[in-house]
Amino acid sequence: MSRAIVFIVDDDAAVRDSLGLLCETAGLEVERHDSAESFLSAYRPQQPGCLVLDVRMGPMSGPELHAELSRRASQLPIIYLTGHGDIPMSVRAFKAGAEDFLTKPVNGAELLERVHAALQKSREMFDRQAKLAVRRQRLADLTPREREVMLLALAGYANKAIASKMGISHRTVEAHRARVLQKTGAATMVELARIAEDCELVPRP
Amino acid sequence: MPDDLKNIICRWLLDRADIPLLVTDADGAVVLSNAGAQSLFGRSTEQFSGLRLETLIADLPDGKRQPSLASHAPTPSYESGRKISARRLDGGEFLARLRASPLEGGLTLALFEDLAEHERIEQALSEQELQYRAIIETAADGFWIVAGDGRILAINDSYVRRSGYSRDELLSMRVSDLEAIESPSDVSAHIEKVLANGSDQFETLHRTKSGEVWPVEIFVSYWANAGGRLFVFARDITARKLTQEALRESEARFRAIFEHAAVGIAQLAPDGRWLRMNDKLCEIVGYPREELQKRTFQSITHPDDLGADLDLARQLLAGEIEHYQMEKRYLRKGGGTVWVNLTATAVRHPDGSADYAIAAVEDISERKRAEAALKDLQLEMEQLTRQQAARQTVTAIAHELNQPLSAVAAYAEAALSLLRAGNPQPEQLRHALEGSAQQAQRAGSVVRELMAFLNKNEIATEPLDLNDLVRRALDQINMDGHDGIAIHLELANGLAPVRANRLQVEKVLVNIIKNGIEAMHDAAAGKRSISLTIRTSVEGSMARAAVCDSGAGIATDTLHRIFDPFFTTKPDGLGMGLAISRTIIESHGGRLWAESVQDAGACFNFTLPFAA
Repeated sequence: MSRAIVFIVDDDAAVRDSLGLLCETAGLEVERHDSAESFLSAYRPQQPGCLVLDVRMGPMSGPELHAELSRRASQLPIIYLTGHGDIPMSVRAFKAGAEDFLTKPVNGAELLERVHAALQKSREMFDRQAKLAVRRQRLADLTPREREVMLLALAGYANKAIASKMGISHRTVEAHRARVLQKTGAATMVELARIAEDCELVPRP
Repeated sequence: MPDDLKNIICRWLLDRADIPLLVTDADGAVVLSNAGAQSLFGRSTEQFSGLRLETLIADLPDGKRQPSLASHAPTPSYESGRKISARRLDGGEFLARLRASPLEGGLTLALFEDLAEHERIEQALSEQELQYRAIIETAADGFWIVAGDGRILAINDSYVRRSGYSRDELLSMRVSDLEAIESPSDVSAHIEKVLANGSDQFETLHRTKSGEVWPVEIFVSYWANAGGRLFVFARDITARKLTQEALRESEARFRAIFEHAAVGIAQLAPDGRWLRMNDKLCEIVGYPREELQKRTFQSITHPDDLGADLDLARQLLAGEIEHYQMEKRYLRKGGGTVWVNLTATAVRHPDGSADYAIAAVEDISERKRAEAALKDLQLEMEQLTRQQAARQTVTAIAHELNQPLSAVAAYAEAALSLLRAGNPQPEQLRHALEGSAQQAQRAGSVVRELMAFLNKNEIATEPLDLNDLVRRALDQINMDGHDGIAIHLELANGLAPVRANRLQVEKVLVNIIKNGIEAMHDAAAGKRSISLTIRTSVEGSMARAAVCDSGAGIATDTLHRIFDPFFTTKPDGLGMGLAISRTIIESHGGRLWAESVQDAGACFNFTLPFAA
């Protein structure tokens, strides 16, 4: 997986440059954009990271960029920077799912702490997404017969009952079950049940 | 008495008699004539002597002339008199009445009456009568002559026309036949009263032939020496009665309006005393009528309103104004004030002096309360607006300061971080410290600008190259990252230096150049070539700079408002930029204005005075 990136979007060159430098000295990878439009044109959905976003920018403001990202189902955590503690705007931003809201001039340590937390969250999110994608793929690799056996087994039917329901031999059912566990990489039926749940194949209990 | 004396006396008496007379003898010859006869016939005693009577009569039939008067009647007797045409000596003829009566001894006395004079009198009398008749007939009033028993003896055309009867019908009627109120016995009694008193004047009703009853005013007089007649004028007073009725109705109507009006109405004496007022007025000022009538308007007027009211009332009474209107307060009975709208007019005597004043008083307390509430609300709104403006101003200042301060803090923390790590990248550390220093300067200049703006009368100016200022502003904008926009410079060669404050004019230039860039961002990208033209030129004693964009332009209705503080079209703009810019340029003695052609971009221009 690629390294998480701190995206700094601010129309003030000095702010952009100094915050970038601060993050870089903390060993983080930084990408600077002078406008929301610039960020969007370089946007990679698969890139983990976090957004340090100036509220007041033109033509597209911070909250407008936020809305656009939500529309694109981005899960990039957003840390807002504002020149003044605008409470209504903070509330709106949090409601829209902002990770954090810092007032300029920002405390460097605080910013780095929040950035680290956001990156961690982003990474975890991407990990989870990646794992899920692998599992989905594995479930997708099952044959129709194997899938049918799995769903009946997860529904609580014993092998014998599955065999009679499907009109196949008990032995064949056992063979399908073994192949399902092998293909999905689940050690036990309990684990298989969780995978199926995660992939929304069966409803959560 | 001797006969001579008798003769003398007789002669004297005859001559003094008014009546011309002659005495003839049995033969008809004149034996005696008096002075009257001599004068009438123009003959002397001698010229009469022996004259036959026939000679004096012109119209005696020829056959009667011979034989003499005496031949057929030795003593002609015309006791009752006979009209004759008499002849004077000069041949002139005149009308006379001859009365002859026999005397003793065959003598005849002939008396002559001069009818010419009589005719003249008759003529004169009938003319006067005609004139009277004409007057009577010309009169618009009806005229009767009435007998003491009520019979109508004469009547004029005017009454005939009004009554609808014919003259003949009326002449056969009695007063009681025309009277619509009084009974016949009433009429008789009334006539008796007039006969006793000589005259009367009264109103009654008459009835026409068609049954219409009409009001008349009767003037009647009784002239005992004019044949015991009643002379009656009957005046048609229908119009007067209608007018009276209309007047009465109008007064009743006015009274109703006065009493039941929704506004207070009062009549005031010129000295300010309340004379009459309706209930509403009493209700407004809170005084019962009797108490109010003991007061003046002055005594119940709020002291703060009295001066103005008195002044207007004086003008009204003096006739300088016809009426006046004012909002004022009355002091209500038992305390408290009431706001009213007063309208006052004067009713004048024929000589123009004021008889009394009429005041209409409308209670406007409710409106005043609403106005006061509205005013409070407006004050509150203004307060809020001011607070909002202050908040926006502070926000703008905070933003301007927070940007560099943020950078300073971040650079410093980066530097710290690098130092903690043992300064592995000296180049980065240098960059961080330089950036920090630079941004601290930037914050400082923001503060200086603010101070300069607050003390705009104390700006320090120096001779500056306007073209140089334009280039510096562009450098600042480029540093802020506005690249990718074509900027055309058309700078005048050898432009003389202007007198200006570098920081402030740079700020103005940056502001309007940024405005232009943003305007073009807003205009649909790609639709037009994004280009900005900055021009400098000489305009009289001033240098001019123009920043023209190729954006959408500015709508006309917006154009005159863009310099207002806090006016903005940007969703999160503050609207202070252009207002401050204009203030700056004007404090330099220049002018800042915008020109725009819809869909063809906008130009922001400013001028600055030359340094020399």
